[in-house]
Amino acid sequence: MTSPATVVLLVEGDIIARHPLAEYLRECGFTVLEAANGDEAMLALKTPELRIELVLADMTTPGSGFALRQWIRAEKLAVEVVLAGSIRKTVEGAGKICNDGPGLSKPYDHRLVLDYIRQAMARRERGQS
Amino acid sequence: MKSLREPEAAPQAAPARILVAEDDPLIRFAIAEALRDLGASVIEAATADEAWQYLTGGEPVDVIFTDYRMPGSMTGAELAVRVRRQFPALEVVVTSGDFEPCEWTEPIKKKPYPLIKTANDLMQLALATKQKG
Repeated sequence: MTSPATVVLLVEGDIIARHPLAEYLRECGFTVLEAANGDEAMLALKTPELRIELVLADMTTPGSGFALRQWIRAEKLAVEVVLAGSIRKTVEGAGKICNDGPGLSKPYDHRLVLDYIRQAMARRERGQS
Repeated sequence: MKSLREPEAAPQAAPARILVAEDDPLIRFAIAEALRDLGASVIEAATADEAWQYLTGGEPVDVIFTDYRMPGSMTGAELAVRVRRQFPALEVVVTSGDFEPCEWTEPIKKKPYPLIKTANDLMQLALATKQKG
């Protein structure tokens, strides 16, 4: 593999969901940049050296969603944008990107990622109460 | 994410796990990718709060590399103090561009830091932490 990996920007405000999703996409062979909010996403997208080709954005993350997509359009950036309205949709989006993507190594099923995130979120909620 | 694929894998087979807490995404990407190139499993946190949330969720980490000044309810130094108290086996390195007195009494890594050397040092620290078990 001499060609550089496709760069995906993952916009997700919850580290419990963002980290496993990013690792899943990395196992598919993507280079994954992680943004915790819309400001971080815009800063990354304004940096051409990062060569971002695809944005997978959770719509519930502050500054993400339609506002981010509108900004990308206004800036005329040549990136594909996938918006997801819930953690389940975000994981499904990642699964689809993986299936259509480079697939250097075949990652585990994206539903396992969803189970893992749900369990971690439940643990966290128990820990906080 | 080896844990998903091999939940029963022996701990010593797992890669070094380094949590980077840094609110400047460009700096965070750079050090995270440098560490991944060395074979580390890197967790990226955009604030000290996120780092704390990840740790208290029970996820294992070997080393934390945290910036000092970040938005949110605590600084990197406060995170470091909390980690020392609650997770004494964990190594913590604090980095900062300015040197004002803070809660953290251990040496602070000066910013900007040399990328490759810093990544190598953090890897060594993570592997040493792992061996101590």
